[in-house]
Order: sequence, then C-alpha cells, then structure tokens
Amino acid sequence: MTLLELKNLHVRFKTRAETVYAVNGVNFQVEENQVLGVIGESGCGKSVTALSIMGLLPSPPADIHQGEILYKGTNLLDLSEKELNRIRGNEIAMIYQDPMEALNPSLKIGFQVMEPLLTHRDISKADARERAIKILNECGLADAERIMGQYPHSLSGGMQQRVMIAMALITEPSLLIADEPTTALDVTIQAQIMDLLDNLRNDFNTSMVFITHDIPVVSGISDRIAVMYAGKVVETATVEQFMENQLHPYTQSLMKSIPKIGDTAEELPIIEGVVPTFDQNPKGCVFASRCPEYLGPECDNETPRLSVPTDAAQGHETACHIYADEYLETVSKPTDQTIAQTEEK
Amino acid sequence: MSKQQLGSEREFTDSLLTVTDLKKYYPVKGGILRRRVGDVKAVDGVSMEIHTGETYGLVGESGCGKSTFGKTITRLVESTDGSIIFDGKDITQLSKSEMNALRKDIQIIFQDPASCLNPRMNVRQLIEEPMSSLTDWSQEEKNKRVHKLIKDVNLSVEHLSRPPHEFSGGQQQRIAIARALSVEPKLIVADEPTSALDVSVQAKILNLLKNLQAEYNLTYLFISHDLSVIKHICDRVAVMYLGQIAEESPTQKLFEAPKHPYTKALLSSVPKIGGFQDDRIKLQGTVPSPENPPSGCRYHTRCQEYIGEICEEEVPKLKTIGEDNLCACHHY
Repeated sequence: MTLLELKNLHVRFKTRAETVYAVNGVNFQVEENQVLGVIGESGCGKSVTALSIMGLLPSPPADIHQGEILYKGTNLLDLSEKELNRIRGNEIAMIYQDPMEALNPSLKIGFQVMEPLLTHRDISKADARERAIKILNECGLADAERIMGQYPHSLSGGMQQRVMIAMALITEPSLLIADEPTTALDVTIQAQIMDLLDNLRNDFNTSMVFITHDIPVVSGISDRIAVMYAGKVVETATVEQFMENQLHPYTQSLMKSIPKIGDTAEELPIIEGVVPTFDQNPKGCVFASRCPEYLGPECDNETPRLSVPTDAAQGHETACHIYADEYLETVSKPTDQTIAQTEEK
Repeated sequence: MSKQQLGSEREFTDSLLTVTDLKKYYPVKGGILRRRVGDVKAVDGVSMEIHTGETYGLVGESGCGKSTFGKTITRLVESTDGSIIFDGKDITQLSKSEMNALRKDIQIIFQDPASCLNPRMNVRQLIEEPMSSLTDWSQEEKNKRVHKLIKDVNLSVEHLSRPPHEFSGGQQQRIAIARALSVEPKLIVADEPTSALDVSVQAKILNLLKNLQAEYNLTYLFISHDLSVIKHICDRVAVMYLGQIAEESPTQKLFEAPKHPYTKALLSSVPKIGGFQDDRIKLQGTVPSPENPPSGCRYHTRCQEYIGEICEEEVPKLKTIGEDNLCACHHY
C-alpha cells in the first residue's frame, strides 16, 4: 500500500526582492515498510521537500503553489494546523541533521523524549517515563535513567542523535523522515547509527524517507533511491538497479566524482558549472546547462518526463531526452508499468 | 616540473618539518578559586617528519586532536612541550617578530571558507592582504600576482571586485586557497578543506590542490576525517587517536594492510556503495575524554584485539614495522 505520495510538488520562496523556485515538480512514492533514499547535493531541494511534508515551512516566504502530498490518501496540504498536529510527531516523525540545534538546550532529555507521547496519547507521566527509558535503551543508550535527567549539552554528538531518534520513534510512527541524520557524525559513530536505524526499521515496521548527499550511506539502508537535482527528481530505481547502472547523465557524473577507497585515478572526474537557481518555473531539462550528453534545443525547451526507457529494468525511471526514442516505443507498445503510471497521472 | 606520480609511488627525502614529542594541554579550571584541576591532553606526544613536496595526511575522529595539532605547528596556539623544526629552525622558540617572518612560509586553509573571509573586503583585497602584511613586495608585483592566482584557482579577473558572499562554498574555498598561496608558502596546512562541500565540488577542490602542488612544489599537511579523501590525495598517512599517533604508513600500505586495530576498525566503518562490508568491525561506544584518557594503550577500552593486562598498564611505543610502517600496539 502506498503510504506517502508526492504528486508534482512545487515550492517557491517569495521575498520582496526576488522569488526563488526551489522545488519544481517532485514526484515520489513510499510504500508501507519501505525505505526511500533521496539523494542530492546542497540546494537541490531535498530538505525543502522534507519540511513541506511535515508542514514546517514558514509561509510566507514559502509558497507551495502546486501539487499534492498524499499521506494514506489524505492531502496534507488541505489540513488545518490542528488536524496536521494530530499527524505530525505522531504518525509522521522527523530526525534532523544537527541534533545540537534540534534539541532544546534548556530542557532535560527526559522531558523532551516524553513530550510527543504526552501530547499525542492519553497516558500517565509514570507510564510515559517508563516508555521513554525503554526506547532510549533500544536506541543504544545503556544508562537511560541517568540520561533522562541530563541536558543535551552534556551528551556527545552520537548520543544526541540517538536521543533524537528515540524522540521520533516513541510514538511508533508509520513514517520517519530522516534528513541527513549522520552527516554531523564521525564514520565509526555513523556506522553505529546506521545499524540502529536498520534494526529499528525491522522492529517497528517503520517506513522511511532517508535524505542524504552521501550515496554510500544511503545505498546500505534503502529499498528505493530517488535522485534529486535542482528541485526535480531526475531518476528513481530500486537500490539494486541503481547500483548496477545509472541512467541519467547527472547521476552518472555524480557517481564518478566520489573518491572511492579502492580507486586509484589521478584526477577525479568533475561536473562542470554550478547548480542553477531559478527565478521562474524552469523550462526544459534542469540539467541541460551542465549536461555532458546535451542533445540540442529539446533539452532547453521541453521538460523531460520521468519514465522507464525500454532497455531499462522495470521500475527504473529517469527524466532525460537521450532516451526519447525509447519513450516513443514505450508509448506505442505500453507495458503494465506505463499503463499504471498513466492512470495515476 | 614533471607530472607527479600517484600516492606512495612518489619518493621524498628532504625533511621540511620535523615534530618531536609535541604536546598541547589545555588547563581545566575548577573550584571557587578557579585553580587548575586537570588538563585536556589534546595533543600528547606526537612526532612526525614531513618531507618537501609530499602530502601528509592526518586522519582521526572528532576530538582526537588533529586540528589542534595543525594549529600548534602554525603557532596559532602555543605548544606546551616538544619541538617543531621547520626548515632548520625550532619555531616553538622563535620570538614574535621572528615568527612573523616565518609565517610567510606556513599557511593554513580552514574548513569553513565563509567564516574565514572578511565579508567587508572584496576578493582583490582578500588575496592581497597576506602579501601586504607579510612581504615588502611592490604594489605592481602584488597586482600581477593577484591576477595570476585568481586564474590559477580557476576564477576570473572579473570576480576580483566582488565581496565573498556572492560566491558559492566551493568558490569561496578557491579564494581561501589563492589567499594562502599568495605569499609563496612552502607548507600548507589544510584543515578539513573539503568537509563543508558537496562531493562534486569536493572533487574540483581536490583536483585543484593536486595541480597547484605540482606547479608550486607545495607540501601539504592534510587534515581530514574522510578516509576516502585522504586515500585520494595523500602520500603518507598518520592515524590519530586521543592525542597520539596510532599508526603511520604510506597511503597504499595503510589502506591495503592496516596494522593497528584502530585503523582496521576505522577503515571498516567507511560505508561502501551498496552498504557496509560484511565483516565490519563494530566499535562500541565513543572516544573517551582526553581529560582523563585510559591508562596504557589509549585504545584498549574499545579494542577488538585486546591482549590482556599489558594493554592497560604499558603505553605502547611507536615502532617501525617492515620498511616504513610505524605502529603503536603491543601486538608488534
């Protein structure tokens, strides 16, 4: 069953001086008990997408001017603040990148971990406390009772991140949004946290949207991958398909530019130019200006559709004109996959 | 100069920087009288030798003292004990004016370019500033150099009149690099120069640093927590743990056959594309506090190859194993 579906989501930021189009038509789905890894560089709109699912973008300046966010079939954008509060922190929880900034420095850990439970459930304080200690233990904090009485600053970065994960999981949410949860951590601690998330995911049957710029990290935990560039999803695939071959020129260049430990290349391949920002709804392919396989005017003028090229495995979608001929064939000889997609749209 | 060879295939002999038993303790004050009650031993007896023209990597987790080490050898913080011989002179003994004369030869690049570039200056002023304060070059000479440098770091002359906030993170780091290079340094301490950047931008900066090294015969002390970056750029690597060096080895050897248990654990924690390797060594807990480090071998509290009492009682010395591999562990 589809738990979360983003349909053609557009977000822009309006200030007096300018309007910036940050998210320009994002489509993805998260099935129940599935982990979707969202990959992209800074400025590609991945965090804005996450925050708009949670309804946490301040408006103004943010303006979701098009699209739908369907959670279990309800469009979250239509809900009132009060209705939204019943869902977020309860059924949808979020883990942020920097635990030092996301935890309240003047409140004890115990209070902060218990808070979602006391807000959303009819539960006594003693029961909430018991539950909080249990979840902190499950998140790998052995000395939970002592930690409950401490303030965030006395914990290390890895411990703070565990506290944040405990806070997010205490209401047993059906969807967890993790925005770069290990970026601020060392590799050894990162490995611990990734193990923890993997175990918790199996124990609680939680679906996850795992946002990161780190491809190796995300490839270990995800079932599906979505690659974002300049506010658009340019490629989606299962993790196995994605590892085997990448279809979009951007994804191909990105994979090449990562230094690998087994690699001995003298120069790292690079992507020329910088990520563009848009002051209007972008026309054509967003990657056209930097694309190594630029075809011509159609790249500048026509927006490529996210679909499965004929040679590719089922479910491996990309939005690029180099597969255009194959698109036509797909249309004339529709597969089950494309029929399903047309119906959805 | 001919195109340099990759990694450990390059050979260097001239010693540029020799550090012997360097220590940096930060006092911890407590009680009503704010007396000294202990020390944070950020760097506790580090020795190393860096050769002219090489890239020496220093890797470790946060809090292991690698940045403090970088700051100590540039004398941005004063060392507690030990000697730093740079180009024949012990820089810990130099007076302030003697040190200022030497600053020209040692430059540093920081992690976050946005916070080390003065927002009120334009790019020309930023690149010119070190030359004005550290050299007596004429204005004409300085102008010529600014123009050359801005092209060397792949920016253009039109950028010179703009303030730093108009640039992206990668471009700001290029400006910081041009600034460090302006006074023709011999040694550059690069403290996590790409950690704040995206992978595709990181690739550009790493390529740039390599090309500049070939062009200007630079020596780098490259500090990073990212092992794949270290692997890519360094000739030799030292692994630091709690203020001490656990292992030092030519890059190729370190990654192919790590000796110290900590290096093994660190290497196996690096995620590969497709997930972690199956036989990963799982490290428990976090780095102990440097204020009260474990006795004996500092790694014994987390070590997966713990032998016995000797690990808790005796501090292992850095010993030469094979030709050029140094390791501090009771196993050897």
